[in-house]
Amino acid sequence: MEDSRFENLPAQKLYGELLGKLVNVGIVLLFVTFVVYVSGLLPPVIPMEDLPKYWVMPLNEFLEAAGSPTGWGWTQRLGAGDYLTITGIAFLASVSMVCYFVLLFAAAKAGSKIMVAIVAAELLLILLAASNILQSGGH
Amino acid sequence: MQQNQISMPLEPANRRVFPGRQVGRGLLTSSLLLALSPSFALAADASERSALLPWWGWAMALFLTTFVIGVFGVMAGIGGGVLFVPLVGSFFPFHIDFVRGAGLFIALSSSLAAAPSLLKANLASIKLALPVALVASGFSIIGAFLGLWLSALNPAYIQGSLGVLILMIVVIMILSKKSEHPEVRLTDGLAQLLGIGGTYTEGTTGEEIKWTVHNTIKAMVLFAFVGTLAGMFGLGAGWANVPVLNLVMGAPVKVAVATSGFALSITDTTAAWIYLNKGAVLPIVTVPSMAGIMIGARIGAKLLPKVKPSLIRQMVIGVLLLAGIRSLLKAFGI
Repeated sequence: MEDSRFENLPAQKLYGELLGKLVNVGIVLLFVTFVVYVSGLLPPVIPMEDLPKYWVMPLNEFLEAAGSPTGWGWTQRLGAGDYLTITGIAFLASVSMVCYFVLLFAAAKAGSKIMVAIVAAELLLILLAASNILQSGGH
Repeated sequence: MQQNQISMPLEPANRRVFPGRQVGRGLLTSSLLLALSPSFALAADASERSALLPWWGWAMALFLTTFVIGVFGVMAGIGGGVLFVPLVGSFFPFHIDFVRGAGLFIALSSSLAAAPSLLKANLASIKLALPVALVASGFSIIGAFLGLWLSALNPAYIQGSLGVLILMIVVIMILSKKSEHPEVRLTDGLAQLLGIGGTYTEGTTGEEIKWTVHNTIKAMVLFAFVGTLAGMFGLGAGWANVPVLNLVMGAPVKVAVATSGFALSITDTTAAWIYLNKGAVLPIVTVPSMAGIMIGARIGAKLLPKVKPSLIRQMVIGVLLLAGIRSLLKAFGI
């Protein structure tokens, strides 16, 4: 037990490699969708020249004035440049979740109950935050 | 997944103003305006300030600012979020809600960009990061809700407490010391249960360093506090994670810095989703900031061997001091 404590987790390198690849995909996605947005290839819901009027508003006022959806509502507006860009942002916010699933399987395979519990609890937290269940409950 | 209904009709904007060649001029104009214009400095009202530049001018100014933050943040050994939120929140016209949303994504993208190589080099430790991230991310959700609630009551509450926090960070940066290889004589029960420890190769000597930690429970309480602040203000938490991992838990400083960077990629994910789901992430604010910080951080890392870190650190402390005071003044409407 004492010696094994100084061993690095075998899944650490796999996690690093997977994370690196997913982050690269995310950066490309972010760049491409943003270019589509600012170049006007897909017109945004909020006209670019009107943005300075909107970004000074407090969040609640902005949501009302722009008719902007909360939660996963943005996925229903992917035909608009501004909402398409959120795809890249959301992808980058999801990469750790994917890596944690890999870590969960690795921990289960290694028979480490405590690690399975911690990884599962973290995954639950991320899924809870991403699902919008917490926000809906708060309204 | 829960989805909110969309009631507004979609009306894509067909009128477009293409930046084209103006972008180059805008780059210069926007930075000059930001730095020199008395009208900018005097335009206390956000709407007035917002009208000083076209949308693309602000986007370029944001890119430039975050690029500089990225360069200096890496050289000073702090994440970008802690500089971004007070600076952009104080000197740009964007509402603090959108600045905090972008701040979290900046901290997230910086840590995501750095984590793979740190993990592969065994400098960042998953075993150490797992409990840290779990506690901090749980509390960052609470912090995110608390921050958005306070901001809805009165943005000055957030602006003022941000100012106080930034000034506290300045004090921590001035006072905190680092211990290269802290001595851990007796590890604690939780660290034993979780098997926290590891081995890395010291680059300068080629020596294999074995390490473990202690004071795990005390550190978890501190990470709960740090996670709340990170979610509340949209800051990265490297400024607090590193001293706790290094000085409280006894992790070697390189492991502490790397693991803090990696843990942020998980901690900030939860708070970032809260802001995204609340609609507090504006692509025009967030994406240029993420691009600027990532490019700046890479250049900063290359410049690192050629600069004197202590000088850069003093400069960053000075900038944070100004940003903290500015946030406080803004909270009082000054």
